[in-house]
Amino acid sequence: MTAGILLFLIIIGLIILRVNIVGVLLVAIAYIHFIWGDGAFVYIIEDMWIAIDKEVLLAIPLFILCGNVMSKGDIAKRLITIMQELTRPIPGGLAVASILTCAVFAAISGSSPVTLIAVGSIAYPGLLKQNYSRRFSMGAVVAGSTLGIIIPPSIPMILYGIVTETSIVDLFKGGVGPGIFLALMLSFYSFFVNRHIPSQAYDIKALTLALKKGIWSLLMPVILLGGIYSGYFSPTESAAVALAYSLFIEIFIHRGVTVRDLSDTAVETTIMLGTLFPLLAIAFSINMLLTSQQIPAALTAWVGSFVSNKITFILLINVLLLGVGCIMDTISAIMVLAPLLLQLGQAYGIDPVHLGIMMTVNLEIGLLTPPVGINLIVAMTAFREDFGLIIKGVLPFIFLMLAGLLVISFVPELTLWLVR
Amino acid sequence: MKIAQKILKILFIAEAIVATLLYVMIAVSLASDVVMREVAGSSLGGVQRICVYAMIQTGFLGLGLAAARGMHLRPRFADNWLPERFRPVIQRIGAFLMAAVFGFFVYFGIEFVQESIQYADLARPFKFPIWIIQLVVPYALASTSLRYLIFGIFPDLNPEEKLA
Repeated sequence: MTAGILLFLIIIGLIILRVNIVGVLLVAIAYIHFIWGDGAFVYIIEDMWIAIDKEVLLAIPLFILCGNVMSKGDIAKRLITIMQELTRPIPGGLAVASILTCAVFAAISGSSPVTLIAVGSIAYPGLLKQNYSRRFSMGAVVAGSTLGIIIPPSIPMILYGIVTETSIVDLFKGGVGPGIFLALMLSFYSFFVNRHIPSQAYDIKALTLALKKGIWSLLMPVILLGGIYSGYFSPTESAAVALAYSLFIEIFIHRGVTVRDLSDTAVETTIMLGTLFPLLAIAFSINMLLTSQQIPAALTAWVGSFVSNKITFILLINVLLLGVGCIMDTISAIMVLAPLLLQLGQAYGIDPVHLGIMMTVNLEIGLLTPPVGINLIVAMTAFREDFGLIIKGVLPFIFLMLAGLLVISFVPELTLWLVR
Repeated sequence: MKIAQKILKILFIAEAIVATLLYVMIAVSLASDVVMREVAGSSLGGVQRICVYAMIQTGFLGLGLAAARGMHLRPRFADNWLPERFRPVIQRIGAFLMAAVFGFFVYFGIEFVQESIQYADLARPFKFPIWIIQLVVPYALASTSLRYLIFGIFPDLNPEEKLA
């Protein structure tokens, strides 16, 4: 008990001293090995190696590369033009178009901040120009971009699949229903709030032109997700195809990226990977140690002693994950908590895919909650807007997504209909 | 300070070039693998494994590159627990601590490589000594430790934190 309290104090001390999460986890795991393990620190490095020596992980750098290529190119711009033309007859059409573009872009990129920068940098000024309120516009692009991690392909889902040994294809299939459901909820809200903004008549000529210019971009999610769901490509192969396709259309068709852009993209991807892989590796090592000490089993028994039914358990993990989402980033939260929650969830009869999707939606909301809501901070930096305005803007969307989370949590069929 | 600045720059450029070349290799190899499967009916043997090794190199190189750009994730909820005037001192202590933590693990990274040499572990599929690939582990930890040491000594060189 004393050793546990000391570990907690060490972690808090390091956080106060602004040590990064990799440093904190390295110290924590060294301490755990020293106190509860056999003190052989070389095992930490061995576990780290085993954690990242996996073929399935190849999908992650490829999807990040692909997202970075697309955010430097024209794909987002062309997608939003198509959506804008399609939603013209709807009052508040541009707001709905922004949400739908986020959803389509999310089906290619796998990352929320990438979706926010790529789509938001075009949609946000466009919304302001058409007299949508600043608060709503900010909320719509920031909240809409969180769809990036729930609509497959999704990097957090890949990581969840790896740490819990759940099929990544099944997780991708599981994300479709909740992703579409949340996209429709956000779109309907956007329409409802902006119903006073007059609609416009269809402009067939403009729509045809937009489709002609954007057909290559529109085909991307079809190829990517069609390939995965039909079993034609593995997630890694689909990531490779997506990257090759995005490079092809950005270089030869849109002619939107330069060689310099591509080398910058490679460096940015390496840096992102450098923040992600050590976390994955250390979390794996911690999990190996926890499992060898039978901590997850003990935790399951302890929770089981006071949580009597599935409903209470689902509510409890949602509250826990929402809290965690407020203070931890998505990747760290999945790495640390997913293996523990998996065993708990299975004890209450929750499907691992359903649990993964619930976890992703919770952490998706966490992207919007201070103090570490990544999308809030990205928005503040990218759009130079006041933090208070961003919070006020996303607040209604957070309540909406919480309602969506409850539906996703208590209606597992919404997640599992494509999996079964 | 100028020498430290130069060391940081050389490290960044060298690691960035290696990482970029490895990405080109990964992307071309994997795309060719899919094309070969479709055109010739069989995949290129062992390509994914080689790409995994390349990815591990980029992942570890990224550890240092992320430190160089101030991009490592950091829990920020306790940032305001101490008065603002202590911030420069705290940041400096934090940098030295991180240099010590990563430096501590360099030793075990070397031990890890030594074990592979001792047991003559081989990398699939071409069966060459895996320790050559594993050298990136102690290197990346050392390069990250060196960066934080420099940031501790010369706080002006510590990059402003950005979001990963």
